Amino acid sequence: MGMLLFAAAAPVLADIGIETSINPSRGTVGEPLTLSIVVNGSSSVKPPRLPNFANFRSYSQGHSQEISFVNGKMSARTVFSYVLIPTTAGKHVLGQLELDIDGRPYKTGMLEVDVEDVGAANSSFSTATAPRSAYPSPVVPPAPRSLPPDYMGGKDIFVRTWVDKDDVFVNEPVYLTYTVYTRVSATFRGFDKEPVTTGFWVEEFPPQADVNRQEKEISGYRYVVADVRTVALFPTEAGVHTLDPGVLKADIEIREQDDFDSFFSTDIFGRRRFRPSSVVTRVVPKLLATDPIVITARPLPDTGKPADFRGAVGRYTIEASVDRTEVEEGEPITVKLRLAGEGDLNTAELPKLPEMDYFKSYDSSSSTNTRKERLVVEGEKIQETVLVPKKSGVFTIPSVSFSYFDPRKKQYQTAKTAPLIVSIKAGREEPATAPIAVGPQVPPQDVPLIGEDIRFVKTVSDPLVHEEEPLLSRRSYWVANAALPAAALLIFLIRLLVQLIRRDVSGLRVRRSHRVARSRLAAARKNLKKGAETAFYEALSKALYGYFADKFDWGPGEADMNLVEKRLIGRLSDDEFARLRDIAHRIHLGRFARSEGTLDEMKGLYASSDQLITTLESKKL
Amino acid sequence: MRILAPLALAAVFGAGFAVSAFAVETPFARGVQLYEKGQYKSAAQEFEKFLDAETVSAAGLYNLGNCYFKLGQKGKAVWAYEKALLLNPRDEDLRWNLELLRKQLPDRQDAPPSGLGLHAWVTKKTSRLRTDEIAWAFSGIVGVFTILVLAAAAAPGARPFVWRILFAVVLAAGAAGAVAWARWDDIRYPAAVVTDREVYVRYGPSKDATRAFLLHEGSKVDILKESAGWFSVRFGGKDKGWIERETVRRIR
Repeated sequence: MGMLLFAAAAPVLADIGIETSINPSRGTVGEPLTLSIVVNGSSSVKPPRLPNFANFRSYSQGHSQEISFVNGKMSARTVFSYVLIPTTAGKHVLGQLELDIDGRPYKTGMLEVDVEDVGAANSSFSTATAPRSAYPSPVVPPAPRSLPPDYMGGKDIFVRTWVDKDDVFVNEPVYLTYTVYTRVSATFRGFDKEPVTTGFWVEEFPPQADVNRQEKEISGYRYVVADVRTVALFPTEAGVHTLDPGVLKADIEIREQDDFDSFFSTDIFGRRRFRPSSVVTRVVPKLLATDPIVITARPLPDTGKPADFRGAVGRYTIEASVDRTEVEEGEPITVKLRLAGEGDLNTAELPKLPEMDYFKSYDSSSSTNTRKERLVVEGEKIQETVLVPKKSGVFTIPSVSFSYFDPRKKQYQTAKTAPLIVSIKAGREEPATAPIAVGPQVPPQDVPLIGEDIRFVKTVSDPLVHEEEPLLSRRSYWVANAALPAAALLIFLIRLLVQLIRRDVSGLRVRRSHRVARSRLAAARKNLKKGAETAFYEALSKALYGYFADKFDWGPGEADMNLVEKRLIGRLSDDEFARLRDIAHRIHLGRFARSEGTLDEMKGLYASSDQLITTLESKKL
Repeated sequence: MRILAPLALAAVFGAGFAVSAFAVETPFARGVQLYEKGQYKSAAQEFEKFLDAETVSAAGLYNLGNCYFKLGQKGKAVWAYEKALLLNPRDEDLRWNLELLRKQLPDRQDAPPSGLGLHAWVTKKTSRLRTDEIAWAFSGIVGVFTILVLAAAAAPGARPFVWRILFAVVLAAGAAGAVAWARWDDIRYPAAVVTDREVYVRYGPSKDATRAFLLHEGSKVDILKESAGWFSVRFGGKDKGWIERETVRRIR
């Protein structure tokens, strides 16, 4: 269909138009600008030859072309893109470029560009271009980033490595950044092959909380650009080092068209147009290699090298302090030297304190604390030395110096500590009654430590034991320690409850005692009417003694007259006591004696018992 | 009589010889002899034989630590001393050696800052007690509490007296509980010692993960969890990361 159209109609071309533009129009030294040359009206355009722009480094980013037919009229649009990196600040004018369009020469217009210096620009740059991070702005200026043509051409994803500088002194850090450019959805998966960093000491930077992502247009394609890893490399020896940056791996999403729709989804020029309803996505792993990096490490200059220089490169400060400025003779003090700054602190050697006649010094300990929050390797190194004064007086611990090479100033520097003044008081006097010794008297004093070593081995073994989990980590331990007191508490509560219930039962017996006695008296009367003498006396006995048992919470069979009389002393009059004893005696006789009472006697006994119980009830026993 | 005396002497010496001929020289004793001669590597092998996989001894571990120290294997020496310290925290020789060794380690391991000063104070004051001793003390106090409660249950008349003692017992239980709480971190997170010369701690359990920081042999870390041959560790109470299992030795 497309071919037929080309044969059947003679296309009418629009007039030639050339537009040049630079984006952004204000730049910074080292930051890339995009020069675009757009040619309208012709499809036959040869790429212009880029002249050597003064004050700029430049590369081509390739070109793209679009041709369309509207109402029988063909229009063509060709875009040439170039990257220009300013090398000096100031107002620059870009000269004209020559183009060959349809075999005829054309020239572009001139363009003016304002370029600022790095320091002035940092304050005016938008935060969209600065790395977003929870930490303060990085100390290292961003590396110049330009992309040579062979990275272009519509690649889906590629990686580029940048170094802030490739010519350094030995031990001066080079900051290496890995930047991924992608125009597909991708997930960075680390390194398939780690970089080979022979000849360098490496310090890794922690991954940023928010990865800096930017969008850039390259060769007409929109790329997402992200820095995925940054390391600091400290060359350990002079020479030209070729660094193999390694191979990264990423998972990329590929969106593909269903075959069924392919015929309908291409235009007359055979370009595919994706229809979202028929897209299939799959994830494929991809390895991303990048070119080796050449770093030249120059030896440190000999000119001006201080005598105490030990190889430290960076920017440092040093300070000294002492934990106590007034002590007694023989008491130790600790002198702390603190070296802080930027550089490879692991290899920086702190100076030793000089020998002092009035102090005895012992082995020192040192520790290093490295920080990398500001995308710069910095930190501190601390050395502590124990000194023991040998005599009293006021003494000065002299200052110590630390020499280093400052790569920014390209010269050696020496930092010094301030001297420390310590006052040593005399030790305690000897006791008045010193022991008599044979030979010359040696005053007692603390035995100074002259060296340290581990103590000797044990010559006697202790018994071997099985390795077990600590008791505190065992569930059974906690269960036992909870269960036993819980059980004890439970027992205590149950006992308490039983006592409460028993007290209440006692109260219930007391409250019901009169009613129960009445019912027993009623049973005795019934037996009396029936003439059942034995049963009568039994019932009467139960009524009387049962009444006392209920009143005084006695068990069955516990009540007897002796106990009753003891409990009732002071509660009954003598007459009442006499009546009680008489009734009890007659009941006893009736129960156990062989002689039988007359009916009247039994009735009288019943009436007396009834009256007695009523009297006792009124006493509220 | 003249015959008896020499015979008696012969019997005594003979018996002594017989005893010594049947005496068994243990790996521990051999290790000590080799150490005295300066043969530290062989001495270490003997002490390792003495301590098998399931049984340990504070003296054996201490001696093994000395051998490793002499051989320059600081990581293993720290591991042996720390393990011995769990069994015998009051051994002054052991504490001396461990302190001396710590001074020589490159990674300074300051005590982690604690949110409560009480925690650090209790830990320091009870550092010479074994964890099991604390556990037994706590159990003893709980036992006394139990007996007192049972006494109060059995003898109601004695209750006022019992309550007074019980108050003191509860206070003691609280104190023991505070000590157990101070030790809880040690129990919950077992410790390990780096035995490789240098090892990178990474942000993830994989060699592809970014390096976080570098540890040297002898550094003590807390193991937070384990996954696929890697330990999630904490160093100095704050720095965290992942480390390969083979690069450390667990103390417990």
